[in-house]
Amino acid sequence: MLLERIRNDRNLKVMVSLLLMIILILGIAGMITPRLLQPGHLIELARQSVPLGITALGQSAVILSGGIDLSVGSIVTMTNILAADMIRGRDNRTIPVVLFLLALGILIGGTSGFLIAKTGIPPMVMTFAMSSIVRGGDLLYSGGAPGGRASPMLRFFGAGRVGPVPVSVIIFIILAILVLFWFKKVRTGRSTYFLGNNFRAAKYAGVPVERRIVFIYAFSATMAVLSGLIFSGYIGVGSFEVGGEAFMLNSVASAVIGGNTFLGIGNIAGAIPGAFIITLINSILRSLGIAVTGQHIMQGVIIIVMVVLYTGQIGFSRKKLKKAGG
Amino acid sequence: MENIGKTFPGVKALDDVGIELYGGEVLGLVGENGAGKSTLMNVLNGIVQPDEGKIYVDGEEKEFSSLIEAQNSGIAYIQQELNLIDELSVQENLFLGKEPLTPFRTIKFRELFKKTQEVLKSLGLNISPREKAGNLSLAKKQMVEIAKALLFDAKIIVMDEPTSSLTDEEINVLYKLICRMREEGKGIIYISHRMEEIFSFTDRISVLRNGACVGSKSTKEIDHDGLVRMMAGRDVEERFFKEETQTGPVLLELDSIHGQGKVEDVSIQLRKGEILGIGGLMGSGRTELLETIFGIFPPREGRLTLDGKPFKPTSPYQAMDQGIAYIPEDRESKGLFLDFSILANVSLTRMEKDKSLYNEANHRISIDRVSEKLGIVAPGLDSRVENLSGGNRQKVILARWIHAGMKVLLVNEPTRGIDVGTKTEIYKLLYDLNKQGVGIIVVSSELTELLMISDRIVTLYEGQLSGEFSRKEANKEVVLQAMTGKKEMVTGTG
Repeated sequence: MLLERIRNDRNLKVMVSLLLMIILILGIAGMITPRLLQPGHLIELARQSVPLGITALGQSAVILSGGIDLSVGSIVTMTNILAADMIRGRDNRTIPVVLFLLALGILIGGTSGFLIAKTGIPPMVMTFAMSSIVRGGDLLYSGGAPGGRASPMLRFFGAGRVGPVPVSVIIFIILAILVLFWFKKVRTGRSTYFLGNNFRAAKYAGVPVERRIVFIYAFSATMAVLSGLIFSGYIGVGSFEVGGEAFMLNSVASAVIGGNTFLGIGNIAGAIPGAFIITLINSILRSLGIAVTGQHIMQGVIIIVMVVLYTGQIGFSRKKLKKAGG
Repeated sequence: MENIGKTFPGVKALDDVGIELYGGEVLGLVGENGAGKSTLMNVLNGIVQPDEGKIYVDGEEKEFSSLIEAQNSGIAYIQQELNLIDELSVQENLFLGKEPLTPFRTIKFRELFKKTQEVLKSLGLNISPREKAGNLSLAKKQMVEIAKALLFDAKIIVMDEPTSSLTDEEINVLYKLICRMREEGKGIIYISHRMEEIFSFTDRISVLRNGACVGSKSTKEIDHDGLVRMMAGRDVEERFFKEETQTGPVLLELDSIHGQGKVEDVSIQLRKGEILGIGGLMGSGRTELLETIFGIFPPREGRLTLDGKPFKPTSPYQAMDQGIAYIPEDRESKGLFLDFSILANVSLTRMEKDKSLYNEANHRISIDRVSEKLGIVAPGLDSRVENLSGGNRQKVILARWIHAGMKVLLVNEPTRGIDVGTKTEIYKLLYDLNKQGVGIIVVSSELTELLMISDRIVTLYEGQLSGEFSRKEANKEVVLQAMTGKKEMVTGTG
């Protein structure tokens, strides 16, 4: 009966698969190095996955709408460099700068969304070009040598703790609840799934599709800015090492592992376990002394395994259920 | 085919179905939407594997696990949605996957051209093999599909609703072709909702109902009413005229609207509780006119008045918000989210209109009621729309607008590809909406339908109004004349 439900409800199937995958990876990791499973380390893992998790929420929304956002990595880098340079360690500057950066993010994402909606330029091309522009802007602004540092307030958000719990994890939980609510209950968020499944039908059903596309890309860029702010608070300085292309690819991987498709099928919530799995693998492999190359290979394998699981060709497939008497 | 059975999650699509087809015969396969015709043909063609039952071709038992395997056994399937690739030429489409190759594995284009030309000529078709498929009319595409079947020497040819987009003349060409194939000893399975064709084209008719075969009869032995009764399992009131109704004040007024494409200088009035039929040939601008009112292509010139207030449609969202509803002719591409549930498909527009938080429980209660009233047949509101038949899909779109509420309903081809029984239900639903004060504009290629349901008919020719007829004045001849451009302005009621 439970198997039957899991087979028929795709979102349930995705969540069960993700949970099993996390348990499996933690189990294997625990066998190799037991100290990885200590509560302190698990909390540290959760903290590490916050910036990626935030960006992945935005990326998932874009993917569910049938597009892709290749500019999030550059926006994270931009946020980090601008935040450090403009705040320069001063608390009283923090809030204005944060507001300015959020507005800048909305402007950048909104521009991408506007041009995608109005001119029909493919999202991949538009956001790739935008990424290039932002990256060039970063270099121009910093002259290639970023300076400045985060303020104590920003450091509290990025690296502080309340008891044993990192502040960034608390921020993430609040943010995630808001986003999930938004994409389930509020029409601007909820219609995303419809745009991805059949853009034309959404238009003919009376959805203001162009405005929604602008919203979705602005949302994704805003999430990237938030992610960059948390990063800056943790690292404390501006650096070109933050964000970038690898980070953008990780956000796509998180969204896809989270069960999200370009056809509006999936659930934005999947991005959270998706980002956790990516962070988990990379952290474990790093602690085992396996280089970045190994992390890439492992990540690729996991993406394939998960997506095959969701499409139902193995695992909970009909044939197997039949044999089991389902 | 013997004892074919197939079950989809929650639905028994086919139950112990057996049909026979002889060489040199045309078998009509009829049944209401969801009776299992398409599923049965998908089984025959290896697209769907049966849970039970056997298929014999020339006395030999066969098991097809793919369309290719069925093709190799001499079965050709001409589907309702044509499978040509628009960007490829006719010859490339014909030989797709079976191109004659040189020893270097490149395509022998000269041979491709010659063979294609031969087969097109033998069909009496005046198409260049190098023409892009996308440039052909629907009818010619249909013919190319048939050419494909002939080219590979199919013994069994399945045609699913081949005439739904053809003109009378084109249907005649198709008819001659079918006769010729029959003489050559081929077996043809012909699926159609159009009764006249079933009676004039076929030798024998098999009727499916609710996934079971309820009988096969020689075409000569059965009459129209008998066949409809067999299909529906009950007496069907097929001709379902609209009663004379008292129409209310003017609801929507178009004042010399210039719209997308050819639409020029169109002025019409729609009253509360009235059905206004729009007649016109394909390409007369009838779809463009509806889409102009719905805001897909905002009007270039002219004024609209809705409920006495000026109304300027700039987007579908804005038109919807003002109370205009549109049911497009192409349900799948413009209307539905096939991967989503009925609930999601219906609730969307209301959610946009309410501009408040989405409350699933409230939507569910209200949609349950609408769905019951419309008679949507499905296991539940959570079933995916993909698993529904054409008639039920149309009802889902209608349910969407009823759930959202509307003042004016624009319907493009209300019953395309829908069986007789469901058609009557849809007409009844339109009449009910009329009674609640909704004004309805209907575009239909089926003249009988237009004459039956409209209080008033206007005709379009080349984007301009070419006639207006009250219910009493309208008949097939005069309307058709106006549709084909013979200007004979008759002053109507408006």
